[in-house]
Amino acid sequence: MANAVQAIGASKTYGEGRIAVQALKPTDLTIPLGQICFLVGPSGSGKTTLLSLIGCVLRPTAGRVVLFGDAVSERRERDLPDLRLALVGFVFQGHNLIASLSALDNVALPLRLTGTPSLEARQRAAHLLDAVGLGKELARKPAALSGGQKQRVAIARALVGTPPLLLADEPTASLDAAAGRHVVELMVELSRKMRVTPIIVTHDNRIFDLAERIVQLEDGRIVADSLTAAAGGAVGSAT
Amino acid sequence: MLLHDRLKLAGILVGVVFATVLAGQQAGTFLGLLRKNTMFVANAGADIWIMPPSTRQFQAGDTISDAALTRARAVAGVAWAAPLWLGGATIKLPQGGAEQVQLVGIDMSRRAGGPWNLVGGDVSKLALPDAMVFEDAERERLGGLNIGSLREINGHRVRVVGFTWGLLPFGPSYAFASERLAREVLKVEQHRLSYVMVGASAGVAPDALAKRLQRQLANVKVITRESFIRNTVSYVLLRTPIGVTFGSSALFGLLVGLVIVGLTMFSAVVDNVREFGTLKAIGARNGDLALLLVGQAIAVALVGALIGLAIVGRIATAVRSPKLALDLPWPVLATLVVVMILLCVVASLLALSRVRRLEPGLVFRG
Repeated sequence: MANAVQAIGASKTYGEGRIAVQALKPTDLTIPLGQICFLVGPSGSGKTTLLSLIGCVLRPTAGRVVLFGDAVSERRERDLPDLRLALVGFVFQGHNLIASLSALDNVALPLRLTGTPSLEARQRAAHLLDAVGLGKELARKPAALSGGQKQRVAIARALVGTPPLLLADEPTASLDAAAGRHVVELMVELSRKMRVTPIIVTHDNRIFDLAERIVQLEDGRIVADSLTAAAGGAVGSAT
Repeated sequence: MLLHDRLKLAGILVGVVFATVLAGQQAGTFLGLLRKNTMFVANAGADIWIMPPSTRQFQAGDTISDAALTRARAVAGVAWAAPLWLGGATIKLPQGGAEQVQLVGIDMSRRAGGPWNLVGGDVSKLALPDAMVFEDAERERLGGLNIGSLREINGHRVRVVGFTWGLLPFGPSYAFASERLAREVLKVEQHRLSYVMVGASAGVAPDALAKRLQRQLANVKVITRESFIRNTVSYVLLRTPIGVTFGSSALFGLLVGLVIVGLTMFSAVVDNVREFGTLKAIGARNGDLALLLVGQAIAVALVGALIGLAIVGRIATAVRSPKLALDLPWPVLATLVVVMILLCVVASLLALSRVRRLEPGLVFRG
């Protein structure tokens, strides 16, 4: 199976000298195409830092990050926005929708950034909002949507550009158990349908059964890495 | 994104409107003053003016020999030439005290050089002994003038025979008299006059005729009406404090507007830093965000400038009088809009510098 993500000795240190904090120790991780991978662990374990390195919003202090065979960590800073736009869809903990835009315009935003004509962008956004069950809420602004609806808009925004990688950071954190599970189920379902590789950071163990692989971090290093029953194989170590 | 926050939007608009109103009002007043200083030359009907070499603007000063008038009339291409006398005079008020006027003496045979905009009386009556025309807006200041009123000017008794409207330069108003009376009142030497006004024959270019006259006339300056107006404007701008005074006020208005708009836009970006971070994280380039900010700045500038110009227009209408008139031709209005757009774009650069330094990774931090 081809790989979607490879982290090779990737580490991240914030600050310098005496105030330096190593958030992620040198880490090796390979995620095959299409595998539903959860990064889990307590707060401060380094899982969001690892997600940020994979999402090209941070550069590793040392080591490499390779996405779909492209050593993205070695690309120039100015190339990263285009890489993010082409390769990665993000779902953030706080949904991070643009308050002044309607649900439709929020979802159309990544397409507009790629230069897609407005009409086409809005048509594709409407189609995806319909797919996440918000076909009747196109004109609503984020303030008029429930937490679960906002997160579904965020999922639609992440996937509208058909990126091969979906990165979600604590997508259930601000939702109740039922809504949280529904949101992650939706992400998993759409990822399978759209052949996207989802990587989900969570510490919500009520949804671990939706993962095919669970990578556990503690103190900036991977301490456990296992496949789950959902992977269709025996439960055990992934490395 | 900035426009979503109504309070911030109102703050930015207030900055633009304030700057537009102050700059527009100052520019309008300044241009109104310039127009007052140039209106005589612009409206007198002469294509060419002959004057003492030291003359910088239309004002009383040295005199020239009336030989210049005689010789000008003999130059090919000259349709007509008429003398003009100009000098300061003091008018005694019935209640005591005195006021100044600028007395214009005209050649009654041609009546070149005014008076115009007559709102009362009759120009032909200037031919009567001791007849004068005054400015309507100055009637009260000159002691309640009416047609037929008698006044003493420089020791001469004169009678009011008419009123002009709006002939108020930046300084004492114009009063008009016949050549004979003006010479007496102003005590002009025999064979001396202030200006010679020249009309070019049909088909003769004033520029070429002015050069021809200059070659043939000694000890005088010969310039076209347009040059005289330009010289007057230059003189006011460069040799008087008027330009600096109004210019600095307009600049101050623009600076205050710049600071208000700049700080409000910066503050709006800081308030929405997470949204800008999100845009960066999902792939927006700095150029995209610059377009967004500059686009919004231009939109606000246009709206604010239009509101500001509407207010300036209302002010201009409210204060319009012969004494004070805001002159706001469309090129000035268009320039104001362009200046406001530039101001807002410059102000948005401060906000843009904050956005440029923004790390997309911040969206993953609590």
